[in-house]
Amino acid sequence: MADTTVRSGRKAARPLPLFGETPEGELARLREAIDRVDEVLVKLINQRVRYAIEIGAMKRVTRQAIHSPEREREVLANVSRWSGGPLDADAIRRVFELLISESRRIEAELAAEEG
Amino acid sequence: MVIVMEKGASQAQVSAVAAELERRGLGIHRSDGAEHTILGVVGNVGEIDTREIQVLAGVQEVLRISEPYKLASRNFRRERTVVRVRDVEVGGPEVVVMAGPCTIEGEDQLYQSAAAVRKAGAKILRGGAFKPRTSPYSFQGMGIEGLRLLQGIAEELDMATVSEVMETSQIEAMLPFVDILQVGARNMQNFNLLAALGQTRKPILLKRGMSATVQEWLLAAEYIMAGGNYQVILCERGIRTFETYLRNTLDISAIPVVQKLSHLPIVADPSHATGRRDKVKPLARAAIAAGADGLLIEVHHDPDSALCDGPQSLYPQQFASLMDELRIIVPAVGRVL
Repeated sequence: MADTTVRSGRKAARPLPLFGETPEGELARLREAIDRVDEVLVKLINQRVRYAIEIGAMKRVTRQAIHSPEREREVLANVSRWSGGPLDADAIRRVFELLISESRRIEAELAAEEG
Repeated sequence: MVIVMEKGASQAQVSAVAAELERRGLGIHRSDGAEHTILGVVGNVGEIDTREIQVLAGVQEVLRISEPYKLASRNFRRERTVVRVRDVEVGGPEVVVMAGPCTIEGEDQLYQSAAAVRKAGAKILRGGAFKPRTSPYSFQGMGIEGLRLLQGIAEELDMATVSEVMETSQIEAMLPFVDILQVGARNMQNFNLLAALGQTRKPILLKRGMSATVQEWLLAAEYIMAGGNYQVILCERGIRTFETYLRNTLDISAIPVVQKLSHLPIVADPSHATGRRDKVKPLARAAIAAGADGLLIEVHHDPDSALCDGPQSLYPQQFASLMDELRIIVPAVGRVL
C-alpha cells in the first residue's frame, strides 16, 4: 500500500487531498487495487505449486526422496529474508509453511493417483 | 583510454600514474570501485604507447575505449552509477517515480498536484518554470518565482525536485531551488549548456534529443561528465520516426541498449513521448518491465484547465492507479517500489 505519511517540513503539513471525488471513490480504488493484487497472487501461488509438482515428478523418475527438509529450510530462510515488512519474517514464514504443506498435499495426491 | 589499477594498488601508485599522464597533457577522471581504482584518460590518447603505462607500478591493465564516449562508457566504470538525490537513489534497486505538472502555474495548482503524486508514491516532484514552447505566444513559465513554490511545496511534502534549465544564464539562480537540473530534448546538443552543467555538482536529468542516436545522447552525457559532474540520469522521451499517430515513438529498446553501453541510470518519460494520457500507462508499464530505473510522469490535478500539455497529463486517480499496477510489475523484474 502507498505510504501516506508525510513528514512535515518547514511549514505545517496541510491534509492531503483525496484522489477520488469522495472518500467512497478512494475506497473503491484501494479495493480495486487489492482485487488486482489478489488475482496476481492466486495465479502466482498456483504457478509455484505447478513448479513443485514438476519437481516431484522428476524426483520420482530419479528415485529421490520427495520430502527434502534441507531445501524447505532454505526456502523458508529465503522468504523471511525477502520480506521488507509490514509482515515480519515470522509471519511470512507461517504463510509459506502453509503454502508448502498444501503443495506437498497435492503432490502426494497426484503421486497416489499415478500409483 | 582506461587504466585499471591492481586490486590493492597504493594511493602513491595511483597518484604516480595520474601524474605521469598529466605530465603528458591528458585529463584524468578517477573512479574508486569496490575492487579496483580506475583512471579514465581523456585527451589526445592516440599518440600514447600503452606499453609505457602498462609497466608503471600498480597498473593491472590499460584498455583503449573504442566508443567515442569514454566517461559514460561501461568500460570506464563497471558498477552502475547510483545518483543520490536527497534520500532517494536513482539507479539502485528502487524504481524512482518523478511526477508533477508540466508547468508550475501557481501555489494551489502545484500543491494539489504534488500532494496527489506524493500520496500515490512519487518521490521526486517535477514542475517546469522555464518552458521551451514551440510557439512564442504560449505560456512561457513562472521563472524563479515558480521554483520557489516548487521547493517550498517539495520540502513540505518531503520530496526532491526536478526542473528544466533552458540556458546557461539560469543555472546559478536555479541551484538553490532544485535537486535535479533537467536538460530538455531540444537542448540535448546545446554543448555550451552541457559544459556549464558539468561545472556544477548537481544531478542532471538529460533527455534524449528527438532525433538523437544513442551514441549522440551518450556523447551529450560525456560533455557534462568531462567537467567532473558524473551524476547524470538519462531520460528516454521518444524519438521521431515515420509513425505520426502519436507525438513520438518511445524507444523502449534504448533502455537495455543504454544499460549495456553505459553505467548511467536511465528513466523513461511516457508523457512527452506519446502526448496522450491514455497511452501513458501502458508505456510506463513497458518501460519498467524493460528495466528502466524510473519514470517521469506528468500529473495535473485538473488537466482540462492546464496551461501546458493538458492532454498528456494524468488525472491524480489515473496516476494512483498506475502506481498500483507498477507495484505488481516492479517486484517481478527484481526491483522495489
